[in-house]
Parts: sequence; C-alpha cells; structure tokens
Amino acid sequence: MTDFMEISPGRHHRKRLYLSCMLWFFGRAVQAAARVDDGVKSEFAAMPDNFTFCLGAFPSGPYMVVGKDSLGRVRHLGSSIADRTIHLHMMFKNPALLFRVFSFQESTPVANARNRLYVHGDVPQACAVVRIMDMVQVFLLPKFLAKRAVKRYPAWPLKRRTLVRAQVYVRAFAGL
Amino acid sequence: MTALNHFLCRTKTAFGTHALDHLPFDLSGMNARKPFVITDQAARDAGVHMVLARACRDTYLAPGLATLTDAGDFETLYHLFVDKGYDSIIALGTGQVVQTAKALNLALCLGPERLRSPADPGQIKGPLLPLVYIPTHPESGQDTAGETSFSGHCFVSAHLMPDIAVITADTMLGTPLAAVLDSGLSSLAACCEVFAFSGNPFARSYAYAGVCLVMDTLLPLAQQSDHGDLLCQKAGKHRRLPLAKLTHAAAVSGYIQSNFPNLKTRQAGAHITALHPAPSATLSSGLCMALALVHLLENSKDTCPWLGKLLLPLTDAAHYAGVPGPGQPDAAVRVIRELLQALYETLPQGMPETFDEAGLTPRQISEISNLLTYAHP
Repeated sequence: MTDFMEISPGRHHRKRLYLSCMLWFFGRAVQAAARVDDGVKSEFAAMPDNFTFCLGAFPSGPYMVVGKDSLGRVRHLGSSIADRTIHLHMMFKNPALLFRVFSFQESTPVANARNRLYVHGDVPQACAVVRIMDMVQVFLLPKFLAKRAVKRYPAWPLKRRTLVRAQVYVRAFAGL
Repeated sequence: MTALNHFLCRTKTAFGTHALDHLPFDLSGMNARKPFVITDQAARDAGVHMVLARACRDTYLAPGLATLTDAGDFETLYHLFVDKGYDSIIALGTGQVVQTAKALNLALCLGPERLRSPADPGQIKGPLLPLVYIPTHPESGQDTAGETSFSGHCFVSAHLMPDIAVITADTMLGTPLAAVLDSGLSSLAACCEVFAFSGNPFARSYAYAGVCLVMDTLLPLAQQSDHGDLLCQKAGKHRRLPLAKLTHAAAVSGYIQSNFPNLKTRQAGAHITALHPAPSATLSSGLCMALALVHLLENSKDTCPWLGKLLLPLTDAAHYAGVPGPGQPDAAVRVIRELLQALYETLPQGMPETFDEAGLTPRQISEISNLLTYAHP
C-alpha cells in the first residue's frame, strides 16, 4: 500500500525579515550613493530617464525597487512591484539563494556563474546595476565582508573611502 | 567533408551545492506548480524528502509525497495523481522509483490501457508531463536513459528521459560497495567506449566528463568503504560528494546509452551475465562491462582512432603530455587495468580481472571476442 502525504513547504519568516531589512537599507543606500558618489552617479547618468529596476527573489519576493525619474533623480521606491512598470528585473531563483548573497556566503559574480539569478530586461543596464551594487556594497560593508561580496575589492582614494562613505551612511539612515 | 552528427540530451542536469534550490524556478518554467513526488522507503526513512521540502519553502510549490512500499502500488499512484490534480512528477530515488515514475508518466499521458496492452511500445510521440529525477544512489545509467520497463514490456522514447536531473550531495544515501562498483564500472565502460570509438564530438564531450568523474571518485570511494558494508542510511559527509559525482557519471552514461543503444560493452556485459552460472555481487553487470572494455580496447588498438586520446580523461594533462603519441593507446589500456587491479586489492572478497578468472570457458570467451569487434571504427 502506498504511503501518501502532502508536504506544506511553509515560509522561512526570519530569513524573509532579514532579507526585507537588508533590501530596504540597500535601496536607500543606492539612493544616497547616487547623490554623493561620482562613480554611482555616472552609472545612473547612462540610464534612460524614468527607468526602474528591481532586485528580488522568485516567486514572491522580497523585492527592492529603485527608479530614476524624468529629472534624473534616483529614488528608492520601496518593496512593491505591483502597479509599477519595471524595466529591469534581476531575480534570484529562490529566496534561499538571495539569502546566500545577502549573508555574504556567496558573491554576486559567483551566484551569477552558478546560474542562480535571471535578468528580464536589457543586459547593458543589468551590468550597470551590478556595478552599482558592487560600489554600494563596498560603501556599506567593512573590508573583510566586502571582499566576500564583490569580485575584486577596489583601490579607491582616501576621500571616497572615508568622506563619501560617511555621507552614504548618513543619507541612507536619514533617507535623503 | 564534415560528418553529420546527432546527439540528443533533453535532460537539464543540475549538479552541486544548492542545486535543489533551482528546482521551483525550473518547474515553474514548465508550468508545473503541483508536483507528485515518488520515493522509496529508504529515502523516506533517511528524511531526504525534507531536503526537497526545504527547497520548496517560500515558493508556490505544493508537492504530494508517495512512498513506494510494494510493486502493486501503481494503480494507487495513478488515482492519487489524477484525483488530487497534480501536474508533474518528481522521482526522488533510484531504480524502481524512476521506472515507476516513467511508467506513471506514460499512463497519465497516453492512457493506462497503453501500458496493459502496448500495441507498439517503441513509438511514443509527443511530450509527456514534466519529470524530475533526484537520485539517492549511483545507478547503472538506466534512470536517465529514454527507456522503461513495465509489466514485461519495454518502452523506448527520448520523451521518457527526465526533463531535469538534480544531483546533489544532500540527497545521497549510503550505498553498498557492490552497487557503487557496479555503477562506476558500467559508467566507465560506456563512456570509454564512446570516447574511443565514436566520431561524434557531442557524445565524446559527454563521455570525457563521465570518464573524469569516475576516475576522480571510484577508487577513493572503494578505499574509504568499511569492508564493503555501507548500509542504507545517510552517507557520511566525506562520502556524499564522491557518491554524487559517481551518480553524475551514471547520469551521463545514461544520456550516452540513449544515443548509442548498441554499445558493444553493454551487449557483452549482458551476454556474460546471462552465461555465468551464478551471477553474484562479485560478477556484476558493471564488472562484466569493464572486463569487456579492456578486451575491446586490446583488440582494437590498431584500428581505434581515439584510443590514445582516452589517456587524457583517464589520467590528467601532465601525465598525458608525458607519454609519447605512439605509446598512448597502450598507456590508456594500462590505466584501466591498474584501476581494476587497485579495486581488486581493496575488496575483501576480490573480483575477477579477466574472463578466465570470471569462470568463462574458452568457447564462451571466443563468443564474446566475436561480439567485441568494431567493423567500422
């Protein structure tokens, strides 16, 4: 006689909470870095106006949505992708895989090499978003963690490593 | 003029760390949200289904888990699948589990009467339901091949190959050494034969990977085993990855066997197994295939075009580069003989290294020699 049971996969609430917080703060840091750092500014300058991208996990998030408006200002638009035109989706195939990246067990390039994320949108803009993510991670993380998160730790001038980094932190916390 | 080559492998193979985490996305790509998981008692007892459940967390997948307990379960499985509205099949296990999953897929798509009285079992047209294969043991390659047997009828079609094979160390169970050897040697024989004799570049690249995987793992696994006594429980951490690699090699040999159904070593292995008065763990199908492989390569040294190149996957680039071209075919055969000798030394009960030692008569050896010749290399 066959033994049968239905599996209820459930949800991992603590991981989702952690990811939501990380993505929320990361989104604000992207907004802050776009105002104070020349490297991030130039990457956004190359993107078209009214361009919106999201980073998240398949199938139900959490998400981080960032957009550039018609005046060229970059804004963190929250965590909802509903009722919004998203031009570039960067999605990890499972929340567990997004967690590996945001808990610094795996860098974004390694995750990409292991086929863990997919992109729906233009590839050049996806590459630009990855470069922005790398810069913001270097701003936010201490060196020993940032080395695990990016492919190659950059040799930035002192002003960028200290003053700009402090500005990014303050603006990210204040939401400016 | 370039020859026309075909190689069909419709299975997407995911191997390695967190490979199972990709499964919900891959299934959704096939429009499958409610998979029906078939497993066996050993996998259920070891809790392998929990690994799958963890991979489905935070996704829309709602799997149902059916554990096979005896051979008469097929009708129950069919009715469970239909009544509860499942849309895809996951075979979480090896051997009987996969054969049942393939037969169930046929019954669901073509009707159960097709299995009862197959008018033309060889012709299965059209795609079947998505089938995912998650092995728990190394096997002989039949699981990923496009064939299955049900009620004494054999069904052959590329549509029977799994759509996705997820091979990960997390789902590996402890396996008796005899089964490990059987799997490793049969994979090695199939891959070596195709690499040495086929001019198909696609098949040869698969075969190359298969040979490398077996050579990396088979001997260390045999040396680690505690007198061949690896019972069916969760394998130790140090054994899981080599077991997964060997299972990967078996999957690759399955793809190869689907494209080359008339492999000489496979035919000879089946012939020897049928001839031998008492086939036992010491003379498994895989071992017969390995003995046949050595014989085949020895017979074809002068005619086999890529035998020398076989030395590269059998050893490594440094060793291959150190052997002069004319000596490479002999060196390749010697490496296979040395592997069999090393395996012989690790086994407490020993194993035959030649047809004579396997107990075959000179007449039987002559029959097998006739079988092991390539007319057109």
